[in-house]
Amino acid sequence: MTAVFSHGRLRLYLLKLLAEGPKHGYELIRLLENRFLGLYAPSAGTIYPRLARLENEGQVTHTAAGGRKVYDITDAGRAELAARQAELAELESEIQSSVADLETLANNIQREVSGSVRDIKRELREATRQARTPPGQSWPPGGRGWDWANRDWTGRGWAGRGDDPESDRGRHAGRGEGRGGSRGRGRESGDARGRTDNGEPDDGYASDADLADLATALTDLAGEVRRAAQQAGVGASEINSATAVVVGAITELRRLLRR
Amino acid sequence: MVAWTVTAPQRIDMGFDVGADAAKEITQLRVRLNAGRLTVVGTDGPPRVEISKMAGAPIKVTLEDGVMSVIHEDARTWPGILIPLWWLAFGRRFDCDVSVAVPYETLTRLWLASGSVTASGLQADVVADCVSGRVTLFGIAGALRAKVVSGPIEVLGCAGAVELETVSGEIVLADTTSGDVHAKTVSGSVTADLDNPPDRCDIKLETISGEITIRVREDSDLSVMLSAAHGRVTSEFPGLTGKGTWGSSSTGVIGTPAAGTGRLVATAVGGNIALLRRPIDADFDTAFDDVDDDDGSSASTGASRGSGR
Repeated sequence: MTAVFSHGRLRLYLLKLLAEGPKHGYELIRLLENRFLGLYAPSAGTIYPRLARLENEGQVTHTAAGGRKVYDITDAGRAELAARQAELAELESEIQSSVADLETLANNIQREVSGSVRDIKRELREATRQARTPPGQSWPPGGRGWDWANRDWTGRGWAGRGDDPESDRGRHAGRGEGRGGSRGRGRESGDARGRTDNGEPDDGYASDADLADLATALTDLAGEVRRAAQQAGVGASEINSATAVVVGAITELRRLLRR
Repeated sequence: MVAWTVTAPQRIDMGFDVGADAAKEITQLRVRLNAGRLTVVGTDGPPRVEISKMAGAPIKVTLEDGVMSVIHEDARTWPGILIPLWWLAFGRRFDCDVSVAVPYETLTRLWLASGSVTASGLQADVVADCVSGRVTLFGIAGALRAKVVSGPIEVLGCAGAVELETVSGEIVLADTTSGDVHAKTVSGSVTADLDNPPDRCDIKLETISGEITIRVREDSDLSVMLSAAHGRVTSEFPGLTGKGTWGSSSTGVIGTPAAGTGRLVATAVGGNIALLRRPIDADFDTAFDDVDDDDGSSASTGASRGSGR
């Protein structure tokens, strides 16, 4: 009764059961249970996705009979079964191990469970990664701002962050200009920040003038963002994105100034 | 009362030694061992105990009023404060490999100080306590409670209420039809792949320093509260509103009726939380329910119900 359940083998076993004749889902579950010596019956939620996958790959088809889906094997499925005949024979012989020998059974259970658990963890990790990557589905449904705010510390970790504060700052300045209003001051604040960060030697202290420039830039930023947000026609999702940008900027700045 | 004191590897066949009637009346199993490997399996055959390896300390097996117990004779006379020393000196004597087969409907309570515990194919409630080691539970239809101090807990295919707790170790819960799941760990991740009933679930997962990954049926009706103090919340379900990037949390109601009859709470302090959806097929489930209704039981416990009959 080993490892019937791990990925490749459950698939093989489903094919084998279907090769014996068309069956509906419930029947498949009961038959699998028998193979587990009645210790365990996989749930519908486990079997269905695997069948759906087999169906996508063309190994299995289904017909609806009286409100129930009846699954049947296709020629492609038979071909796979034939190709994996040796593996199937091995599987069958392992299944023969019975409750009579408790020690072997114990070993098998443990191997079985840790194998399936490993599979499931891999599957979920993969699903999690997929849930994070497509921008359309990343949560919350936000725009570029959200992605920008999250990109660094989830994707590449902290180490990856060091290389783009420049470009981020550039984007900020550009945004400020793009919104119109105080063009000159926007550029000026960009300059001021450039001086604070790059012009000063690492071991020196910032002068009062530098600090004042930074303070002006900050006030400008706050005022401008507030003005832009209060304009008519700005949707909730834009506001959310903007918030994310600001929060990300704060985190970035905190890190920058702490060193 | 029947009692055996086992000092060498031995197989005790209750059906044969006690008589079939007494053996059939076993309703409870209590195991208390200090070290080793313990396996409990439900069976429709005669109950039995197999001790295939033992390092010295005798094991006492008794059967009285339907209660079977398997216990290490504990000759510990040292004062409490010296117990770690005692364990260092004599712990090895307790190493053993014990397998127990009992009827499906046996209430089971297992305690093991160090080693691995496996229980499988039981219809009644199971309580497993382990100080340091691994707990594996597989195909349990009754309520389930497992506690480990240091070590992982793996649960596969269970139908009853599930309560799991570990201090340092991972919790993995998969293919579980239960609607009542509580899992708590301090340092370790929690992975729960649930085939939960669509409504009236109560799912609560907690970890301090670890990730939480949950997969629930896409038709679940849950009011959700996910909070990651220093991590990120990812959800495949639309309809959750969240706040914060650094330490995010999200709340909302998911599901098709979205009535919020169930509850899902996940709390992580130093890790991310991911909520995933498990695809379901209405027709597949219809077939499942139909047959279940025929023999008059509910769909929620259907998957593991009747296992082993």
